[in-house]
Amino acid sequence: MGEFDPYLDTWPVSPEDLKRTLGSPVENLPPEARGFHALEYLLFQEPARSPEAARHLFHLAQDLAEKTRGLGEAYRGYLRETPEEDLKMELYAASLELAEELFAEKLQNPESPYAKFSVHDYRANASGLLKALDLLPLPGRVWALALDLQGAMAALPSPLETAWDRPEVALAIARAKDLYETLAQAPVGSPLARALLWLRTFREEYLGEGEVDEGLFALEGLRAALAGTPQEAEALRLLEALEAKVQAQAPTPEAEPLLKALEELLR
Amino acid sequence: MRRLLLGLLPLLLGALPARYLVQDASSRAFGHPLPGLSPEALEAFRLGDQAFNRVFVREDGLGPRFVHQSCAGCHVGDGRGRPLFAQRSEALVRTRAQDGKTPHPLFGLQLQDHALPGYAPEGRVELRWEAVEGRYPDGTPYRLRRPRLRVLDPEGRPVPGAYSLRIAPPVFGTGLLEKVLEAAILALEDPQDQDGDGISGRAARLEGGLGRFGWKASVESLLVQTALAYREDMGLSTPLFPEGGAEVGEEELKRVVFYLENLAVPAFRHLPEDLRGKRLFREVGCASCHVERLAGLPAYTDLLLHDLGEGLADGVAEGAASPSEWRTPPLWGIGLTRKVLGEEVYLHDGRARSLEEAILWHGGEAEEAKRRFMALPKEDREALLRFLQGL
Repeated sequence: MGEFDPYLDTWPVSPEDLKRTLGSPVENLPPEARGFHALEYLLFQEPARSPEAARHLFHLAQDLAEKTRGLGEAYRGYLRETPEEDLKMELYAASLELAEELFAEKLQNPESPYAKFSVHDYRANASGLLKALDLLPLPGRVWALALDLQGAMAALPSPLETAWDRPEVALAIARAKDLYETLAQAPVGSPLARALLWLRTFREEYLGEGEVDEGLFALEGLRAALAGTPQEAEALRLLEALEAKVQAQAPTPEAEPLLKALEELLR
Repeated sequence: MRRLLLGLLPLLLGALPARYLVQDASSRAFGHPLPGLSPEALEAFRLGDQAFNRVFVREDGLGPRFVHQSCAGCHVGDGRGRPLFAQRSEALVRTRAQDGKTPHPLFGLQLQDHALPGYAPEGRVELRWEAVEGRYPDGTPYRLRRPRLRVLDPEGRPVPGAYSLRIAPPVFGTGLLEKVLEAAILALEDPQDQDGDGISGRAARLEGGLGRFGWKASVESLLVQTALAYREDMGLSTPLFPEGGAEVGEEELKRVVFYLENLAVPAFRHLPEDLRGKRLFREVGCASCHVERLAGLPAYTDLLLHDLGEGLADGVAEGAASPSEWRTPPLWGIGLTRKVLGEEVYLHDGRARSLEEAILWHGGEAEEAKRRFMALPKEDREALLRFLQGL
């Protein structure tokens, strides 16, 4: 993606460099004088009227088409090579980021200011989000909020560039924020599965084999697996009590209730 | 008493929930805010994120000579960059006169290999990789690479000087490292190797405090690091380095610093079978410098300078570091490098294409640890590498 992105939609463009480099071979142009926004500038802000400028515009469009094709190929290759679990994680993380960008950035600044096309860009974002979320195992509430967002985007005034203070924009921002916050609470791919593996190891090592050091190691692994999870604070209280039992080499009946409580919490 | 308190600190911090770790193993894993930020702080973090990603152009004061045009252009996904010199470079070249100490007569301390249309870059980087082959004691062959670098003037002629290739280091977690008390770093120093373990790390003492950032610990704070990057990498003035004005104002500079200060660290992803690798990491001696907890932080660094031998020496002195000295880089998050960057590149110049290659380049104070790693049976080497991939 990194090889293509700067040549597709670097923002902002440099109007000065666009003028200075008119007629230069496209492959020598810097990112801020090529790509979607450069085309947008030359079509809508300062339309290219001379034959030289029109030729340059044509070459810029060709370059954009070529880079877009390259991106498409690279993306298809990525899809082929990446395991499904990783793809789910990527799709979830990208959806979360897009929802955040919508309320924190996009709906507060124009993204297509020369063509005054920002609203269409953002509506496409909301539709894309819905399609992405459709591929993920998420609770229904997320879905409902994504549909709300799509509705709020459809109701946005067009062009958006002259309507930032309209209540429809504030509503769309609120909808995107709701979606983001709910999505953030529904992570895809559970670190708790890893935590349960550590608990099983603890059960085998300490309760099964009586290995104190191995048991403590397993609890250390469990602590790391819990980091950043919503259950962390509560689980750590149980874990510390369990650690104390292991250090005191407490017999199974004393450790078992704590272990069971942890397993229950993490399931 | 102070030593006692410092000794207790990791235990005390270890007992608290790790509020700086986040659960994300995707390509966006390095870009999260510290958990628990207030709504106002989160808003400031987002503004900082936008400033970090801001693309500068001529109209904003970029250049006229520069390396890249945004922070995020080199610190890809808030992680490292590649040893890539293209239309925009993800890496840079530190430059010195041939003595390796004084600034280069033409380029100063760093090469600006790009320029706005109408200006000529200072020079062009010509990078080629040279193969270095070797074998483990068990006969397994390996093949490393090292950079061979030339800087060419606009006419294509090589310019004499001492040059050091540097990839951009990861920026997540740096805010936490900045908060580590100097005393905690100094407590790990052993410049005369009095404990006789062959490791003699020393702190990078700079005028403004202890050096913590950069491959040679040549910068003491995120504020200075950020302002230097604006100046050296993008040709942008700031209130810290005004040069007649400030193209990046105080507010924007502080936003970026706030962003860096509050970037979280991805949680480790170890499974029970990785325990063997962790034990080997300790037994081999990696943890002597990549200390597992620094003031309670599982950063796997001591933030000290260590002599890593001739194989990694770059011929350039920087800050308090000699050409063969390097700051122990943190290892947290290192196992997600490929996810975030799309490939693996390690060490200051990105020569290592895997963690195994990175280990094999260790020398000097780390020679003995490397030797022990190489002497391990293949399955143990792999177990140790799997442990690193879980960080």
